[in-house]
Amino acid sequence: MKKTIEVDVAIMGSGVAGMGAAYKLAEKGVTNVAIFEKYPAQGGAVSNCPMGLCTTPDTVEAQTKAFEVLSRFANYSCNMGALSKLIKYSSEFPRIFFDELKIGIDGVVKRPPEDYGNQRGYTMGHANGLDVGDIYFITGRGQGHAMALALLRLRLKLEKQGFKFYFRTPIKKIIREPNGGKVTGAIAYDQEGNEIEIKCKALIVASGGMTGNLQLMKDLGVVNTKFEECYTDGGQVLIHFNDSCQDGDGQLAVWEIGGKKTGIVISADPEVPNPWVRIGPNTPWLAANQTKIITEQPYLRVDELGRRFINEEMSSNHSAISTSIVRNNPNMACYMIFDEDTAKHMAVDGVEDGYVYFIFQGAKIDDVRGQMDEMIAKGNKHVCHFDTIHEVCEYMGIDEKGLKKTIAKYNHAKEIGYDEDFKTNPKYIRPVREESGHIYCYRILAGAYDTMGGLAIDENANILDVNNYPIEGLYGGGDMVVGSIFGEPPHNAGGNVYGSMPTGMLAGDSAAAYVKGEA
Amino acid sequence: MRVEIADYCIRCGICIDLYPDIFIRNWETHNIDVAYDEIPEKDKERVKQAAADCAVAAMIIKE
Repeated sequence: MKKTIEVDVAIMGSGVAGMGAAYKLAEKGVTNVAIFEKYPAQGGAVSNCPMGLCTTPDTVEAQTKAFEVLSRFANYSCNMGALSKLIKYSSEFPRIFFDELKIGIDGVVKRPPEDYGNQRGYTMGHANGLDVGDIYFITGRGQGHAMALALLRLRLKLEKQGFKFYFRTPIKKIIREPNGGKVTGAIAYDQEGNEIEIKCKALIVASGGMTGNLQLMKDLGVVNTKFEECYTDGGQVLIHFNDSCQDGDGQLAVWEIGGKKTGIVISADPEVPNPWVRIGPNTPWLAANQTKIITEQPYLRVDELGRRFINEEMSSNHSAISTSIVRNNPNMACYMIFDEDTAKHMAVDGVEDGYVYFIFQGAKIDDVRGQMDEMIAKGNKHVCHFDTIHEVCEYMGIDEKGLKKTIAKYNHAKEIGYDEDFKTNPKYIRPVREESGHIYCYRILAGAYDTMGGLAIDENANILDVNNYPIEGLYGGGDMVVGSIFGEPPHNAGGNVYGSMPTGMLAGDSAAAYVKGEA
Repeated sequence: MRVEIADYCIRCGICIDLYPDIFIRNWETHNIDVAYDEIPEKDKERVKQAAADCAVAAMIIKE
């Protein structure tokens, strides 16, 4: 016999967005709530975010500046109503995570609002919102992920209030009344494949992206590369947990009942594919050794035709690099190239500006060649070092003629102190010369925590239909909707704690008002 | 010594990263499997360390 579950609100997904929605429902006194999760545990993609969160303080100055910076990021074509609210919701993080969920703080970087939008790396619109607020480095348990611990504590708290969690129970279909009517429920399947009918007054879709579903990403043009074996589930350049269950179920279900289909991109984290070689247990998203730090340095990078494609000062701006790689370069790839002199410069002088990649302040890069050799010995085909540019090109599949032409012009830009083509500050230009003794090369692909986009919401997180009318009773939060807030999503437009949890909170608040007849 | 993985384990794989010879990702069940029913003497300290490092205290040791 078919099982039926009747609740006021059903939530699809228990990542940071779904849990943010649940938090707000509880706060508003709506506790007849069921959360359906495909994975065996709560947490979603963001559970592998061990290090920090960003919060925009609730002051007029901070809120206004963050709004201005993020609106400008989208050329003022964003969903400003939703954007304004998610910035405000972020101000609640310290109370939620530190006061209520008792997560420890390792350190805080307080940033004055006038500095928002001014960092070389991680500029506007970064997924973590690192550029538009205060950054808290947070403490997990053991070598674990603090956000995972926070979300487990939140789950236990919600369960005490009557919330029901159904794990390994994915929602696959949404039930909507005919003729553009309201949403009245959903269909889920338990571990044995038995159908469960969910009857609810409101449904919140927060099932994340689709990085666990390579075929769907290929079908939708999200992944288009000859290196598609690197886009495996949590393996190489997709850096959430392995076996993520982020399969696009929510997007597919909403599209099926008439939801608007928006652009989808992979979120941004340029990565050297480095399967199963990690820097440490609590940072599964980073390759072993200092590869990540090296590839964030503002040195020459080209596509496989040997062409430059970006001002290299953007090397640690994940959004800029990823968007350029995907939109301009063949195979979602670029190649970072430097010579022995630059390797020595990184070892002796350290990273540029004493700062790169917010958790590696002032690092010196020791033994680039040894680090590469370690990766190569473990089977990595995406890094190499040779005596000549010819050998590098042959190994990596880069057009040698194109690269040599580029290098000649790039080196000349250093000599004359002006980069005519990309306006890279000459202080960051490091000539590439075979005479230095050696040439190094990394293949960098557009990696990701997740995909962004697919669904559109209004200013209340109500999911929109193909004609931009809100679908009554249907709300959305998280990676699947944050991208659309910024229009056709640039890579990295939202997501993670700063974007996903606030949209979930907005969805929870709006659903609570709806079921209580206050909307 | 025996070790059980609680159902609230988030499957992050920290234990696998630390000690891949003891903890194994089961791609079929989405669970983390333990290589032994009874933890050998030589591995007891490593298992205790893995439990201490677990993100959500999901590793339950039974002496």
